[in-house]
Amino acid sequence: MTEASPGSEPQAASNGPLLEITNVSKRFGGLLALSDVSFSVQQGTIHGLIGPNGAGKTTLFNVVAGTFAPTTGKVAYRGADITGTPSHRMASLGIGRTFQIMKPFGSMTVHENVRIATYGRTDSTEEASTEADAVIAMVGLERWRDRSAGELPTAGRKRLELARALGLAPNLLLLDEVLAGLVPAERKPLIDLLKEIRSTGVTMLLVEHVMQAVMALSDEIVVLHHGQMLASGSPRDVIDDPRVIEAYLGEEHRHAEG
Amino acid sequence: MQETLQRRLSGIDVNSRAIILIGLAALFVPQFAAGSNLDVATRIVLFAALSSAWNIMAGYAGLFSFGHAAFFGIGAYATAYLLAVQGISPVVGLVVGAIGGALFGLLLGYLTFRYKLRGAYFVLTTFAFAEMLYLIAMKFSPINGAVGLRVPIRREESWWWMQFAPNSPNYFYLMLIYLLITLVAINMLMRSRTGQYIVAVRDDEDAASALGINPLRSRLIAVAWSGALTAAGGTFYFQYLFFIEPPLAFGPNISVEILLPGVIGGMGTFWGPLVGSGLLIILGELTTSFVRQPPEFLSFLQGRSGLDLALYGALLIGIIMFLPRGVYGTLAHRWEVRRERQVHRAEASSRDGMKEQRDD
Repeated sequence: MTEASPGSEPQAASNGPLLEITNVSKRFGGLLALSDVSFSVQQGTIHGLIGPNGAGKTTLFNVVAGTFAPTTGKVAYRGADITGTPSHRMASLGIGRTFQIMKPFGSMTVHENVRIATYGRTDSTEEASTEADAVIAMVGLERWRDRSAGELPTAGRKRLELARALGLAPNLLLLDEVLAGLVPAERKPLIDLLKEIRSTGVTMLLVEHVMQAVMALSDEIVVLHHGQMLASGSPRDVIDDPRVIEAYLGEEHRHAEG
Repeated sequence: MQETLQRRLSGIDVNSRAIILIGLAALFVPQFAAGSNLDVATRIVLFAALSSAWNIMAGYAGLFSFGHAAFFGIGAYATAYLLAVQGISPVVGLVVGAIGGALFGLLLGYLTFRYKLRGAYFVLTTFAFAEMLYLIAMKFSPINGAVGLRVPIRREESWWWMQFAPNSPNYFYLMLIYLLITLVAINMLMRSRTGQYIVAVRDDEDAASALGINPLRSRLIAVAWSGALTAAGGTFYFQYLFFIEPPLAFGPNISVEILLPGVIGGMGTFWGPLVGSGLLIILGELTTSFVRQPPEFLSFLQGRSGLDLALYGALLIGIIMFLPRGVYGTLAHRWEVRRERQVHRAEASSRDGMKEQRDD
């Protein structure tokens, strides 16, 4: 936040989209998890990625985050091809991510957890500590600063996931179900926090199961179903789309019967 | 000026202060212990250092090695070859051995991490590498194969040649210097960003990667440090023992002796290997002397060979069963839990207090 992060180099294509996904497919053996998905994310927006269980949301997320490479297709960030870039290089490009299954460094305190991220931005441990404190304050974990990260309750761990990603001072934040597993009372403050983060100019790609949250946050939404793009557009357009309603209702019917 | 000095002193971390204290206290050990007792103290110090070096990998990096004899033997043989065959000082051997240990660590690490060998497979690979070096050493004529190498006896004592009179306390001091340097190095490494990255990769590799850490690089750094510091121990051991042969350098016994203090004391804790080494070696001495001279009602035990080892083994099993985090590790953990609980309670009561105030 004080220093220019490595991610804020002069942009290659200043007017193009920040993230561009072109014809991405991913095959796991006989299963086609993603089929020809294309969309782009504009700088400064929140892009929601929704779909019923098994739609390929997490697969697409992992392709973008560099966890694994797509079978075919291309992911471009600021106009540069980043397909298959190992995940540890993503951070230096200015891309931060959270994990759906939270992964705190259990032997460390909350502050030490966040400092692992801020270390990458400065040569001085002291500065990294200060930066970490700033992020901890932003996500509201001050009270837990010196507590073991393994002890945090679920809502706290979600915030820690977010804090660590924010510690990278990212340009693009990939959020994997940050609201899942929270009770509604815990969601509201987190949604407000995400809005606050957007107001600092961070672009977000949001994989989410909680519909209401996606609607409240997203500027654009992509709906995946059976690995294919079912619909995309503004939240209003998407929610009125009969195919989307059918995909979700079909899912709920099955839940009700099963 | 004075203020900055004060601040600098208060800026010294707890571990460093303890290292200084231990170093000062240990200076007086030879005053109280002589002969075989000083031998025991010397071995405690040596294996505390070796196990601390092992702990970088097994404890902090989560890479359990069952083949640290490989590094140890490289250090011992580098020194032995340079000294006994080439007539070069063990000080040079120490440096060459440490570099050799680090390089061998990088090789072993690169191959195992490249092919993603984890858990039991990693453990077995470290063991196989040590065995491989053992077999090579047995047949390798420049280092005298199975016969081994001896320290050429000099007439005068010398630090440069690391050679003193047989009962000189200087061997103890030599090991003490090795231990203190090892502890300082580990403390600096683990407090640094590099060390924090190593622990982060151990705790969660995916999360660490997402924060820009290259897991391969972090692990290789841990293995290289561990290998170099363990190899240094090989040098001192050779000078102390005056002799090295393949089973002494690369044998599985050495691997076990290196890892046991860490396991018993507490893996991944700074003081665990130190506590473990003291405990294990003293325990070993006690069981041996107990069987050699048992109390009257157990006199039938006298002189039964191997019984002391069985007793020693039983005690180890007991420690591992009842203190799974190791002796020091368990105590440190309990203390930590208690501290957390106190903080929690203090916070809760201060919140209640605030609530009451507001209610008023």
